[in-house]
Amino acid sequence: MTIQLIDITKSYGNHVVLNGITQEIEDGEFFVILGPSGEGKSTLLKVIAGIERPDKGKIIVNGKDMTNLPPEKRNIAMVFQNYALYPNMSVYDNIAFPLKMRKMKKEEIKERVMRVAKLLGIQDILDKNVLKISGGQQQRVAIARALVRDPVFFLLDEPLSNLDARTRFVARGELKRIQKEVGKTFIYVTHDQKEAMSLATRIAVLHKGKFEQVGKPLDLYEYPKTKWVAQFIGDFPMNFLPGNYIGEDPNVEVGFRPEWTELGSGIKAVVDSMEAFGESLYLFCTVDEKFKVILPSKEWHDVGDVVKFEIKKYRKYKDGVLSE
Amino acid sequence: MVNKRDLSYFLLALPAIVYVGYFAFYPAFKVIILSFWDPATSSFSLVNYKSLSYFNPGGAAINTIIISLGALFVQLLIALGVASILANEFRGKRAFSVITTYSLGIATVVSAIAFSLIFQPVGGYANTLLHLLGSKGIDWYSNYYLKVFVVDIADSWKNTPMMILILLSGMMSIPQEIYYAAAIDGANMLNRFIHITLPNLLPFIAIALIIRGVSEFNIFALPLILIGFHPPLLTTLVYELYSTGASVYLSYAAATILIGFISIFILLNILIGRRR
Amino acid sequence: MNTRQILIYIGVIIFSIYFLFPLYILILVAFNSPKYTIFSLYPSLLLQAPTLSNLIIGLTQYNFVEPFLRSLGTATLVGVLSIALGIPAGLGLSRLSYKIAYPITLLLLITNMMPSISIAVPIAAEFIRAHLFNTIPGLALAQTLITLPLATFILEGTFSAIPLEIEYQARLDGASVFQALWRILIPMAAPGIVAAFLISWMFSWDEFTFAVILMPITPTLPVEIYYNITRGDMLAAVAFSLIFTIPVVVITLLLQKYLRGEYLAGGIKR
Repeated sequence: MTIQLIDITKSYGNHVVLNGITQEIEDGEFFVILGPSGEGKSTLLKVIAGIERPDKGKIIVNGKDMTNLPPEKRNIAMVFQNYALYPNMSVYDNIAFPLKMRKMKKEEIKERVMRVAKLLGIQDILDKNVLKISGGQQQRVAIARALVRDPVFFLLDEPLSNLDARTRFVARGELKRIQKEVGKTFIYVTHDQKEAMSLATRIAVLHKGKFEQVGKPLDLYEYPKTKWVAQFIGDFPMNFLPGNYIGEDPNVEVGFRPEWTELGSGIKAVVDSMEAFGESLYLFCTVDEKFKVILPSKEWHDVGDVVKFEIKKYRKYKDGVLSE
Repeated sequence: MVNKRDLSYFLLALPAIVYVGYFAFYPAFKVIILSFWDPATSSFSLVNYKSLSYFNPGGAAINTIIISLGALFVQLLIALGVASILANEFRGKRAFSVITTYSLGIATVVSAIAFSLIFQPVGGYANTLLHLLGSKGIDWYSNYYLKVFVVDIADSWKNTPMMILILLSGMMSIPQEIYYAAAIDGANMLNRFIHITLPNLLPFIAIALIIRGVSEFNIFALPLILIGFHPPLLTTLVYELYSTGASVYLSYAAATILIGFISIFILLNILIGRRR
Repeated sequence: MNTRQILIYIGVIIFSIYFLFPLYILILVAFNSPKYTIFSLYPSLLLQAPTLSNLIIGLTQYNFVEPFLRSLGTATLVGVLSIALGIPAGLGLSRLSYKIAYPITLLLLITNMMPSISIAVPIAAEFIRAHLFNTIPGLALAQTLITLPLATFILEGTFSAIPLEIEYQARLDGASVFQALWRILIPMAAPGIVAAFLISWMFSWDEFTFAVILMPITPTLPVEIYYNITRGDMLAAVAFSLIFTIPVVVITLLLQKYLRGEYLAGGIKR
């Protein structure tokens, strides 16, 4: 089963939100759409779900054109950021709702609900009101409701962003496990690059209404296609210096991750500030009073200290685009 | 640009729009048109307004304004007092809030009866109170100003609760921290009321006055029961002309004058609504 | 106790007397022998000779049951009409863009301010022709003008509080537009719908202007009470009033939460 997005375009008034997105998503993929807030990620999901109509373009699933189907006819499951649980129903009735809408028999509904409840470990709260359970439980109920009816594929709109850090970490692993177990395509939207890196089979970086780069997480980290992606992906943005600093063509820029450098000798930099990140220290420095770079360090430095560093590995960018 | 989604939601609102259009706007339009219609000559003219002038519509308009302003003044005063009490925490607050709002639900006719029992020309409980204070009873309907007073008091009793609720929601919207800051800066209770509560409350007072003002212009049952047709108000004049069957066109003319006054409030309301 | 608290309690006492006194007088006159109330030059402020005969005479010798039933029927019909028109309108307004919602809000707001007496007269003429004059459905149709704007604003507020995602979710779960409305949105809006119904019911129960003009021959209770007063049957009027007031007081207490400035101020606050 493949999902094809062909030239999806959508604008609100004069504001172009999606500018001709074309992409194929393969069967069983955990496909993450990553981008900063307000870049139209949720709009894209709504278009795929059928809540919004695209101005232009097509959505083809398994060779069938779905562009003009209403949401209830698409058999897609979606988990919203705020879970959108029905507050007037118990946990059980929430999960059973999509099955009731399909006029399934009572016994079959019960059997299916029990099965997903077990998968997600929420058997004990089935008769509780959805407003009276924890955020983590609500999130599981939302996922259970998505799983229960065997949809063609899943859409998830930042489903972990309302959880606290610890629960989020656990939920992330669980989500990955569930996706493997059901073996279906997940299309997952987030602004958190770390979450994207740890979940995705492939990541699509959405910028200015287009997928700026689509690739495996490690590829995105190692070979960011544009300067913008390079600075968006990673705990710290990639550093950039003009090529002449390491004897390259001065018309290209060299991009390097902080980890690709070594302190000691080489290019001089002045320390502006310092930040501890996990076990390592990072120095925020300026080269020649012009270029900002971030360097990992094993020792403390004072503001104003001069350090020297060497670049061990780099990529070349011309006009903001990877040139190799 | 109207998209499909907007259109379907608009269709949901359409029955209500058609309903108010047919039952409110069309009759209002008809009243205004027919008030200029001379049935004798079958043509448009000012003849109805000329005949109406014998019934002193100007006086009725002035009476309406005087009664409305008086009622608004009494209501604002009481509502400010009650709302500033309800903005505090104290024992018995719930009971007090019920006591000061329940009369909202008492029918106008019932409040008219209660006050006609209190303000009897002879006997009556207001006179009992005067008697207890060592004074003689008075005829509460002996002159114009006493009549205005009786109507205003009765009206305030029923309608102050709405003003209390609006002012209270205004007071609740003023952050507590401002009061703390003012207190630390040395402002006492009265100063805080004058310099913080009142200015921040002003928009709510304006809304309350407009909403209540419209209703005051429309008061009908209360003056009808308490003072009858004299002195006339615009509403009681319309009813008198209609029910005595003088000429329905005269009542249309009086009704049009009332609509004219209310339009001023509607415009004010829109202007204030726009600015927010 | 500090000065602030003393001031508060002085205010509480004064205002409580102001608001309770008329109700007290009504009850006093209802349960006291008329000798000590309406027939007395300086009627006593205390219950002198408790009696139920005022009420019994009032409710048995005078025409009470029929006007009461007519009021009941009219108010219930007004409640039903208000939510039948108000639910779709409230939902529509809560989902429409401001540019389209604003004129509709304005229309309802103006309706709310329209002087009843001015439009009642031409409506009467229209109703005589349509055989709706002096009928319960006719009166209910007119009174709904007063209640619909308020009911719509309450329901608009209720529906606005329901996140759009829930509606989307229902559609994705396979519900049609109508199913989503019926199975999800309306149950979620139930408290607001009940409030809108009760407030409409209450406003109709109290309504006088349309009632006296559109149903003068077989009137509702408020108009019947007015007729009693003009006939000088003060004790009957008092007895009627007391019974008349009970449902309203109960509803007011039930609705404390909804009797808030925002709703009463209508669309103005938006």
